[in-house]
Amino acid sequence: MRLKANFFILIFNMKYLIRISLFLISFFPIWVALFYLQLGAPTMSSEWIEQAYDLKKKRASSCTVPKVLIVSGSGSLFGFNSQLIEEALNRPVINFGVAVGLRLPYILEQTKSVLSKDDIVILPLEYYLYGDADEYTTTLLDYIVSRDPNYFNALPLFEKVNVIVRLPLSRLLSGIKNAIKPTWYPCKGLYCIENMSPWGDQINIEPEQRTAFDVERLRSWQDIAIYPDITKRSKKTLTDFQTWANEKGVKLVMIPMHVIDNPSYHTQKGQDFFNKIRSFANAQGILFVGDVYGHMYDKQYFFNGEYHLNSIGVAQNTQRMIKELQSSDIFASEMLAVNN
Amino acid sequence: MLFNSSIFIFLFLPISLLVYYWLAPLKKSWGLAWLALASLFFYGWWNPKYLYLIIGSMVFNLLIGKAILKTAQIKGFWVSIGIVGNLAALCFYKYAGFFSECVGWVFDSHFAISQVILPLAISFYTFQQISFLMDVYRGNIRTVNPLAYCLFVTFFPQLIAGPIVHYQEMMPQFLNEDKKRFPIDDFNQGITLFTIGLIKKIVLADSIAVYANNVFSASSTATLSFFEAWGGALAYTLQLYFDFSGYADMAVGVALMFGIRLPLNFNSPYKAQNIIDFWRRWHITLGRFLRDYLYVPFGGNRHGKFRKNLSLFLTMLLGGLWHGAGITFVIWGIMHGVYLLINHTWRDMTAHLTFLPQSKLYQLFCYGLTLLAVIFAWVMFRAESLTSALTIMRSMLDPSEIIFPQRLQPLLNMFGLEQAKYFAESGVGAFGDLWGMVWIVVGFGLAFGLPNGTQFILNGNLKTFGGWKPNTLYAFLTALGIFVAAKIIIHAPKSEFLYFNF
Repeated sequence: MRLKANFFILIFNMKYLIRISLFLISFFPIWVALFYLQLGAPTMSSEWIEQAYDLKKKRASSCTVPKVLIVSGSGSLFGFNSQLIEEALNRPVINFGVAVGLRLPYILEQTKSVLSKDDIVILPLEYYLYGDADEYTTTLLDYIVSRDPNYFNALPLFEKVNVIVRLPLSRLLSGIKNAIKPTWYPCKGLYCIENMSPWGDQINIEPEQRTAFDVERLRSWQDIAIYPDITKRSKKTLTDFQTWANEKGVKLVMIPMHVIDNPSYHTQKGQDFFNKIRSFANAQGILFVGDVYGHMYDKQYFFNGEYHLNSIGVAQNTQRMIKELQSSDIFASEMLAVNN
Repeated sequence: MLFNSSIFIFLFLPISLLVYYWLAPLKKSWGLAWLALASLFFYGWWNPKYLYLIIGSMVFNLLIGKAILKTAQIKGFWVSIGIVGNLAALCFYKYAGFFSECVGWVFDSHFAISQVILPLAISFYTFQQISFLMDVYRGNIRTVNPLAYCLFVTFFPQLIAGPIVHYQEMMPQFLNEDKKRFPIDDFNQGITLFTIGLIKKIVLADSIAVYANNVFSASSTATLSFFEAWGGALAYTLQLYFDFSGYADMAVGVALMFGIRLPLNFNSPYKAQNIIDFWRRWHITLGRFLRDYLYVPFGGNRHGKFRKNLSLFLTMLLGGLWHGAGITFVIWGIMHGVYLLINHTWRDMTAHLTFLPQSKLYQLFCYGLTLLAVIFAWVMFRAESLTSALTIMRSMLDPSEIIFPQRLQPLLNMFGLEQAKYFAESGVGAFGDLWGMVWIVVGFGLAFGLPNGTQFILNGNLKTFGGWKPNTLYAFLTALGIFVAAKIIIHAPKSEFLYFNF
């Protein structure tokens, strides 16, 4: 009796805390409801990515002969002159690089709808993608929630909850705003479709075209993280993609990503990391072409970040890539087949 | 482990509280032991290697304290050993590199001691233990229990960035056998205050930080326009305010959840009417320490005006050095030393003008001048180098380089200012961006217009706002704050508190 009385006294005294708890519990269903209210409402922040993929997918789908897709984040976008590569390899080449923030699983998933038998996928992956531990970045959440609700709806329940919980508050609010009254304004700046070539390369990246923001972004670049190993998640993503590619008759080639050179990459730790990438490729039976250190350049060749070359850097990197690919087994045999 | 991390909020804090409130009613010392252990775990989370240092420091100071109590005749000797030992460790870890650079610069040589990693919180727990030794020396503490002492030094709400507490302020609360089993009122206040602090840090401070960081980064290589420089300076003024006051609220809030009242460390410093008042509101416990253990021993105001001014100046110079081993921190301290000298002199000169403090215009002028002085000093405090600081300050004072944000062009054209110069949308600083300007206005509005968190929660019955009560409205707002904070923490990269660097 006394215990019961003490218990009720305690509950009475804790009513402020109980109210807080009840309010907290009630916020979750409200959050879910608001999430579904704005699911599929397009945001301006995701428009460029959708336009980029539209352009690249259209070009890829229009190819009637086996083609080459260069697949990664924006490192590829700012890395190659695909028209020159196309001329050198004598087959259509599409630059499928868009945004590294979409992370490896989604980036690879986007290629599946346009790949067919005998296509070749070149993977100059940003080194972040080998340490792919955090699967839901702001960029990815923004994009799938606003532009690819089918992808969201196809996710398993646990992943759906993950997306719902991780969507930032500011993004939810802008999604609701767009669901009620869609916003549109003309694109300004570098990341607009007008700055993309028909092959999917970023253009208008001459050194003198940089804005103060680009200069500052390049000035404050940081050397990439040297991981002890490729993460389990990244390995699984690549292995699954390779299995899919094998079933489809699509060939994979991994090449080094270009990056601003830094002494830390030349230490034992750095060498071990890069060797692990090559070893992984070899173990999976994926061809790895090119010298990692040959794709490390001085900062003057970059536009606005550690993976974004300027036009001079793109020219240099493209020539290097062409030479390396032409001398590799896959393209040597392909070139023979074409000539014959 | 950061207060604004999910591991602290959802794991460490609930477990610490649950176990403490299970053990403490059974036996006080079990509760204290648990808290001390949890606090050491909290500290070791940053780097377990430095646990040896804090434990070694505690053992050293505890032995010195006991020696002072046991040997009253030579207690002066022991306290000197204690202070020298503490300062030696602090100087080695914090200042060795800086002093070696100074020596190298003076003698034009390449003499340099290689970079020593600064152990987290060493400035705070060193000062706290020095104050303990002085309190023992002065007879304010008559007995020392090792467990209580360990908890005094390591109590995690105040371990990393203060407040710097006196032993007698905190430990009697822990050792009080009359304390209620579960201090529900304190807990309610604590959780609300903690939430306020969390929102200040992760919503306000971290959002504004972007506008400060890009200006201070750019200042080392680029020239800045008038508005860019002011945009960065104002942004940092607000970032530091919300970062530090947010931390102070969280520290006091967490301590309250354990039924402990920590001293006030932050009291709306931007509402200060003069620099003297500012230092009674900003980092109050540090100011107290500097006053009691530097200013007064230097002579204070007991040996004439010159000695008073010199004591003040030296105290502020050392206060600047305490914040960091760098010339910018020293100059920041000197700036505040000069400000204080001017303030004291002005106060003495105008003491007979009794009408002056009554004048609203004069008060407004004083608020404005004080804030301006503080803003300029913060530029020095934040800058990565002396050159950067001077670049920003020069731009702040150069009206010939007034270049407006592009978005103001239509407005200025209306006023006939077609000849005005503009910087591009992507200009750095708060004024280059609409959201930046919004944050500046909101930030200063909050800093000036609202009571601070501690005032609001602990001092109910405020004239304008009526103060906090544990009712449904505040339960809703607290829950909303926790929800918003949790959402942001789950997604945002962790950001450290600025005062963790000192």
